[in-house]
Amino acid sequence: MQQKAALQMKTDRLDSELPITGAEALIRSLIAESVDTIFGYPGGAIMPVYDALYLYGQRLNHILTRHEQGAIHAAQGYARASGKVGVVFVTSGPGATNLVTGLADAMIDSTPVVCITGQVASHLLGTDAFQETDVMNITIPVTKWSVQITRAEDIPAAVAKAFYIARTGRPGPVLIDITKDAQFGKAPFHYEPCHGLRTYHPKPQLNMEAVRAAAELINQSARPYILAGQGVLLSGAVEALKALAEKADIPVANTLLGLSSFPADHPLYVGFLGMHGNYSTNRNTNECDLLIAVGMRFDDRVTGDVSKYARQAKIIHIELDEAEINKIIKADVAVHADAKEALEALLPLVKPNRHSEWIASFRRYQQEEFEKIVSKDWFPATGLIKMGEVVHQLSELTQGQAIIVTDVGQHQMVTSRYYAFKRPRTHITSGGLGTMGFALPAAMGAALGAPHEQVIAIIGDGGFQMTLQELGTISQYHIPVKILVLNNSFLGMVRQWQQLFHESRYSFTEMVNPDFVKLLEAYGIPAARVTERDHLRDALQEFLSAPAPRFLEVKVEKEDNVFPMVPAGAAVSDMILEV
Amino acid sequence: MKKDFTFIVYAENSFGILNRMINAFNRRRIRIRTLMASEDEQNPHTGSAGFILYTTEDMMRKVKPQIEKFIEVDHAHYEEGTAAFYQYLQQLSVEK
Ligand SMILES: Cc1ncc(C[n+]2csc(CCOP(=O)(O)OP(=O)(O)O)c2C)c(N)n1
Repeated sequence: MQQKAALQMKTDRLDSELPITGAEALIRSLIAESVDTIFGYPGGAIMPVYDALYLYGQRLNHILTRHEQGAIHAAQGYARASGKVGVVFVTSGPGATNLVTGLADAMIDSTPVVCITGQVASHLLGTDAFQETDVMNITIPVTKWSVQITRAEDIPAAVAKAFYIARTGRPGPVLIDITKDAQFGKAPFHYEPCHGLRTYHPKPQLNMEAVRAAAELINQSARPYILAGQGVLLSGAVEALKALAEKADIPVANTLLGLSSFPADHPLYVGFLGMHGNYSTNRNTNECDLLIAVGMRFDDRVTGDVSKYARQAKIIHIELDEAEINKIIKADVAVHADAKEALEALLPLVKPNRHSEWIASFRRYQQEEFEKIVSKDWFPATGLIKMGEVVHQLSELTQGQAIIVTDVGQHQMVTSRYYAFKRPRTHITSGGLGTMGFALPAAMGAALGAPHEQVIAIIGDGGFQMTLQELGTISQYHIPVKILVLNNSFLGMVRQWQQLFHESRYSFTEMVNPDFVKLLEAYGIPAARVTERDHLRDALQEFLSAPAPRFLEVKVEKEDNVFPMVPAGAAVSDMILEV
Repeated sequence: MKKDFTFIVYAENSFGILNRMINAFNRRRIRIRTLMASEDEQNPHTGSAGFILYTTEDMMRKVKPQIEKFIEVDHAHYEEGTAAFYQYLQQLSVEK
């Protein structure tokens, strides 16, 4: 209530009876929404907005990225690290189409961003005018909501609605396309924050009957198992999850996007799920008698063969998005609710319990995995540096406290396995879409969204070269990111699959790379390279203690594989430790 | 087993909402046999769309919440067969 009143006071001061341009109304609306940072790239159709922005430079920090894809990934990183809505400005036509990958990424990974695209004047819509593209129809499948505005007076309400939709319920990307005449047009300005919509109900009513049924299953279970997804982070349910797990003594595993929602050093934490997850977490999915899925959506990378997934177990699915319930895995008890609310309601109904023998079964698998894989990844005696030892040492040196942003590929899976995340919202990656090129711009955004944190991007040599033009942005604004490139001179993950499933036919996966250190120097970013194991720890230490931005390239073994692995289409219990 | 279903959606009458619905069916390769979309005579800010779809019951169960989650959609319902679709058409013509 107080917050509402404060917001109202702030917006009152922005109000204007005298007509102002639509462009200025947009800027004032963003200020009313407490936006502090915008990532963008100008062009003809959004010039009035940039002109208005010029006057508000003191209140809004605009970061000029080097590509629109960089702008939206930066906004995603900003949103994921800060919990706020990321904001993007781009022009029409190619500016708008360059957003598409980021929109799809934000949509599948539930990241709140509001994108403003400039559009040609309304009388030119549909005429193939210069830089006119049908951005509305192009982006419909990859936005939670989108709207085209053709009148200045409609801008404040559209912005209010956009922010409300982006951040509430299951968050997601929203796009507002504003024609140039609407940007130039004038109207008095009044801002009314949006608090509800007739046809949109972001927070379902908690069904206590379902909660009681879930509690009963938990109380009866001998081998319960919690799978925690990003919903735990998004709903702020970290403490509630811990309380429930501790009270009923239930082991907890994380999905890729759920990482950091449960402290890795907690005795009940059993690890990472899925194709390149841990051995125990996958094997025991098919041995538990109760699966409690919280804020996760049973992605195929988690389930493997659905027909052989947890058939022996009862399933409780706590999930905010009703469309995810029974979509992939049929729930015995579905709790359609916000994760925090549901877990807090469950807690008093769940009886204190002990499952020592069941938890010990995870430890036995972990021991096997440690002997066969982890020990060799962390402490190899010979050969080139391995990704595993780099990430393990980084985790030790930062004590699992840094914000880690990964790209896509082997390094991403190795990081998910070996970085011991201790605090919520410290893991940012492109999960659902698997977008190479995500990490560098997302890390920029994370550093701006969480200015007091150490932000480290871990990237492969392939993904790094997809968006490395953002080094220009990092350099221009001195954005304090640490960039760690694990260079195997291959598109490593694809090469691994070629080796394992295509008889080592390395079809177009080897990369001849530039001298990254020289490249970084050209951007004015201090850079170093390490090629030998004996120098690795010192190099990492220096990398971490030096002021950011800073770059470190680690030359790693070229043909290393990430194990264990659930082969595509296999059951989670058929995970292989080696070939 | 695939069969005919009547699927009716009530929604705000905004640009793009019909595309969103059709995309949801196309994405899952659900065949649209018939489609009728109409503004509400009394309140042109709202409207409805009726579809005859050829698909499985399981698919209907899964796609319904995917459509209901669109911001402008108020609610949707479906039933087996085409009779409900013709009742819906009749209702529209009475209202007009
Ligand atoms: C934009 C995009 N294109 C292609 C892919 C397919 N892909 C997945 S992992 C991968 C290899 C990544 O190589 P690199 O960035 O060097 O990381 P590594 O696996 O070696 O750690 C590729 C090509 C993708 N995920 N994203």
